[in-house]
Formats: sequence, structure tokens, C-alpha cells
Amino acid sequence: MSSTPVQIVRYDNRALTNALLQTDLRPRVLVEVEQEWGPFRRNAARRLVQGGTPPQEVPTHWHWDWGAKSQNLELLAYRCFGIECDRKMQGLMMVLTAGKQARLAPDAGKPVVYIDYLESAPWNVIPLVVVPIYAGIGMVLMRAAIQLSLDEGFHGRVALHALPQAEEFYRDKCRMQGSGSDAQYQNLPYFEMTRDLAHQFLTT
Amino acid sequence: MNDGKKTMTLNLTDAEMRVLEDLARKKDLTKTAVVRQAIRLYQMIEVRLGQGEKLVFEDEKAQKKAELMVL
Repeated sequence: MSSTPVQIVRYDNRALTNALLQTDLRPRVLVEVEQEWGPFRRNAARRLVQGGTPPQEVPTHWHWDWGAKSQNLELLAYRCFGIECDRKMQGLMMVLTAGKQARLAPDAGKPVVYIDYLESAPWNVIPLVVVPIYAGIGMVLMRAAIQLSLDEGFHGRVALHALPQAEEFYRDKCRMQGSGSDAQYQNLPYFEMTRDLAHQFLTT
Repeated sequence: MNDGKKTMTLNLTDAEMRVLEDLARKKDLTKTAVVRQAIRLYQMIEVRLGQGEKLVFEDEKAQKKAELMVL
């Protein structure tokens, strides 16, 4: 398992905090993370529902199971990244490095790194908690996906389908280009980081 | 991310090399990256077929579907 130093942000005082980006997580780690995240996520979602939060505002990924997703790592095409801080995993991202192609010009038909799943630890997610512990997790993971794309020779191209509550993050924070909802993928909106957008992301 | 890489010599026919070079040009990849992609995809197909799934090509316009048999 290799790792790189990165920085994330403490939510309460906006201080930069040293963390480690793990770039090749093994299935066992995902199973262990899920043992901690799963009950936290499900209990928080249950509290929201019981407290009268409208269903569309409850994070739709409350039922995710990284333990089950860990089986994907038996395939070479899958990689999993994680951000570790305070001896806890603060975010996870599973990507696919084969079988997905860019849809947008100028590189339509050329390979992309496809983000299959990206999640911040539930204690970093509003509204699962009122005050998160860390912020900036998604941006560090997106940077890692772009770097992987460059390493793979994909020129920074990254693609994904966004859950409704994450659309704003990918569109406005990551500045990915959207191409509308995808009828072939549960009508979720499709986003792509073209090579130019990837370059902008890394340089701004 | 590049740890533990091994080097090998690959013997290809002229036709196979032409296809590899065409794919590399079309996909804007190095020949090594094309081979890597091929291995990843082959493994994925092999595992999923082993789990009882099917690999199907579909032509929506012609309303045709064909199952691909992988040896």
C-alpha cells in the first residue's frame, strides 16, 4: 500500500491538516472502514428521517457498503484511494481504469479514469452531522483521480455519474462539464473532466 | 503508483503490431498502455463470464443483439 502526504481542512477553524493519501487500498481495509462508517451513516440517516427531514435531503448513499464494493478490487481495472487522518479513513474513492471512454469533445472515444464511488466519512458530511470534522476531502480525491489519469496516459480525463446531492460539487467546485442525465445509468447526470478542465483544476 | 513493474518482450506478427499501433494512435495511448488496457478488460470479462454473466453486443438501430463467446 503506497501513500502520499496531502492536506485537508479542519472544518471548525479552517486549519490545514496533514493527512495521507493511500493510493492502493486492499479489500480488507474497505471492510474495516465499512464497519466504522456503515453504522454511523445508517444511524444518522435514520435520525434525519425520524426528525422529519424530507427524503430528497437525506444523502442517497446512506446504504452504500464498501465491504461489498471491496470485491471489485480483485479486478486489475479497479483501484481504491483513501485519505487517512487521526488514524481514521476520512474519505474513499473507487475508480475504474479500463472500459470507460470519454464522451465529450475533443477526446470522445478515448479512455478515462471513471470514478465509480467517492465518499467522505459520514462525520464529514452535512447533513449526516451538523458540524463536520474535516472538509476538502472530495477535492483531494478528485486531484488524485486526475493524477492517476495522467499516470495512465489518459491526459487527466476523468468521468463519473453524480448522485443528486453531489451534482453541485462536481459542477461548481470541480468545474466538470456535464452532459445531462444518462438514461443508461439510472438517469443520473454524467460529468466529465476533459483534459483542459483537468489542467485548469491542477493549476488553480 | 508504478512500483513492481516488470519488463517483457512481446513477439507480434506484422498484422498484430499494425493493430496495436492503430489502437495506440486512435486512443492516444502508448502501446504499453494499450496492452495494459487489454489485460484489464480481458480479466474483467473472464471473471464476469465466470460468474455467469454474458457479454452482449447490441445494435439499437438494427435491433440486433449478439452474445460474444470468449475462449
